[in-house]
Amino acid sequence: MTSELTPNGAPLPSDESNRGEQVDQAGQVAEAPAPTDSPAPTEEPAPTDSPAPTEEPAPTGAPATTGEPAVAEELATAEAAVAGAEEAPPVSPPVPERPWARRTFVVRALGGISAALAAVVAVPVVGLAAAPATRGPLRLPFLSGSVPPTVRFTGFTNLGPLSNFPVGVPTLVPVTVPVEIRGVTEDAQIAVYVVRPHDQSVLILDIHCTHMGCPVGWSQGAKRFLCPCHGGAFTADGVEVSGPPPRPLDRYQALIANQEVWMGPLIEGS
Amino acid sequence: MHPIRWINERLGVGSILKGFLDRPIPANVGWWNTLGSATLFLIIVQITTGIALTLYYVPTAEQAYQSVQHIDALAFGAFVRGVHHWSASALVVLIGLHTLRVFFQAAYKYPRELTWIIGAVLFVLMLGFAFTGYLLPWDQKAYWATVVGTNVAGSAPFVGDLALRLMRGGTALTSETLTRFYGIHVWVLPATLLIGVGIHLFMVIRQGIAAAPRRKPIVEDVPGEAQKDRYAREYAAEKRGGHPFYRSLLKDAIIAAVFMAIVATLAIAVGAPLEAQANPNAVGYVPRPEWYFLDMFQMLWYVSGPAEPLVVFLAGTLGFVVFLLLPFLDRGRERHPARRPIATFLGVAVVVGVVAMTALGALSPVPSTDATVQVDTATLTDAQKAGLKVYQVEGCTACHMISGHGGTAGPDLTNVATKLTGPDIQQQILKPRDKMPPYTDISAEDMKALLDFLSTRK
Repeated sequence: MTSELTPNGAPLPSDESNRGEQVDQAGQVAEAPAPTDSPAPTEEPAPTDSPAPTEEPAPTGAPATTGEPAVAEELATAEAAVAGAEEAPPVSPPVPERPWARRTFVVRALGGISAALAAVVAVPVVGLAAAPATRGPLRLPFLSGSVPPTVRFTGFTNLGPLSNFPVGVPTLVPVTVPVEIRGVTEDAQIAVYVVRPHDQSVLILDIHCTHMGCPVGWSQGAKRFLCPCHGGAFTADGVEVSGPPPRPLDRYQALIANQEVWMGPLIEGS
Repeated sequence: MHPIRWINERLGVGSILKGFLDRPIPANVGWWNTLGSATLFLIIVQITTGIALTLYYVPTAEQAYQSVQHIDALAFGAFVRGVHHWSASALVVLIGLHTLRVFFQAAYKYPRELTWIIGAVLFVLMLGFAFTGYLLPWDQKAYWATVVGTNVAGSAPFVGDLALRLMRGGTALTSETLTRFYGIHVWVLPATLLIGVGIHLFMVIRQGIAAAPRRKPIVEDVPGEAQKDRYAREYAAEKRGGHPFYRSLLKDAIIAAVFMAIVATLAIAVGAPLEAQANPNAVGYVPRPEWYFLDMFQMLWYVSGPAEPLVVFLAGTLGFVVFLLLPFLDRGRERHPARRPIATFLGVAVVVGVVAMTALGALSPVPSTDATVQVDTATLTDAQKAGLKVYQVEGCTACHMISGHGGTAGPDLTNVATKLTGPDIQQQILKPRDKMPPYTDISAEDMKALLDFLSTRK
């Protein structure tokens, strides 16, 4: 909230413009319960003067203010401000520049301190909140592909003997993989489609549509993976054939070793 | 001494309150003006019921769902959660209607431009509440709607990947996403909302409630008068013929009570829905968002190809910018809907579009993976029977219905022969015009048989 102090610096320019004019009505208007938009005092530098601000030490030779109750004085000043500079009380001794220098200094110092405090709090807070953005390489693609909510993991997992998977018919296989969540590696359940296009080859497909990430289902009748969200369709190999999906289904690394199927990490950008 | 007098002697707000309640407002401030205060009322309902829910809710994937089930089992738990759920829906309706009232009355014109802009931000914040809120039960609807929703955000050019990771707390959608949405839902958004609502209300009081526009101006035209001066004269005249503010409060209270009654009734009669626990591997689940996001969900049907993310992003951004900066785009002095036909027409078009897209989204087709076809084969020739077999083998029935059997994703083919000729159908199979996948692997012989079979469907 410290940053909100900055707008308090707004009167600064008009203060400055009046420096040396021995007029500080602008400042007093801001303090008094007067209408907020009475521009007259700041626009017209009156050569004549009104009493000095109450919170500042009355300079020597400003007898108009001495002895008057503060509130009455403020009101009087406000009225004078509303009435306009022309009708301001006549000549009173010039106010020295020093109080204005102090006011400017205080406003600027407050602004500076506020900005510094805000930065000290905001930078780490935003940095912490944005930590996920700095995890992994930063990508700034012009056209982002959709990102399925697929978990990432390393290492290979045995999915069982090749003979478990019929040729040409994708099989939905639940798999337990090690996934890092909150810095702790836990077992997570995921599901993949294992496809054997031919006798001795195997594909492992992610279940998420590459359009918006909905779970595609294999329709044996249609011989297509069909997405329940926006009508996307993929062949058994995961190639997009219809609807909005921009690219084939994501694939995992797949190996056949000793007639067993092994699943590796997701092939990024597959 | 009377306790209230005792307190006021120390607090000293009596005169402020009196001034607030007695200030004159235009006479034609009426029932339409209750929508904003009803929105405020439901925001308060949401904050209080939300606080109660946080006493029991656990924002982790392991426990969120169970903790919600636990809330439902507690005394008043299901009711409080039901009110929070239905009040969210009611808020979307109310803030929409409130925005429409302001739009059609052109109340966003001088001097209320900034009030509109803050209101537009509050509108988007409200959608942010809805979006982050319904992930929290961690049920299937929640999970998959968040998958789709965060993907849409991820489609922004250049920053999409960054935005997606910031929303999900990583690339995958995990327990970390849930905790993140929780923090945003109960801290970030409410804090922002309260500041925004505070400024919005301050400005409403500062500038007075806008008078409903009149066909015939209440004050005479003065040639050469600036618009601001004219406004000041007009509003002063409206207030002179107006009434004290407190009289309008009765209308506000009645509308607030009506909405509370609706929300409470729904909370008791329907309750807050809770689907099965979120399952990232739920093949066969049909993701659909809450009704207020169905229009956006439906729009994703209409663009495809590599430029889709760009189109979606640009359309969304453009829509938001126009919404936000409306007071600077529509600067005419007319306020009565009949005197600003273009704006009124565009407003109606947007409303019709949103309603239509929501309806289409609610009815959007789902492919069926296990439908069978049942046709009386007695009247079919051998060639036609072969065609029926092709129809089954190629899985047409997954999406198309014949005589009440089959999927509903594609058009019903019961009477297809009365609508399309053989060549038309063949063209549609090989090079579909719309969402149907092409079936180019059908042999010429099978195609002939298939078309022969379909020609009997009339």
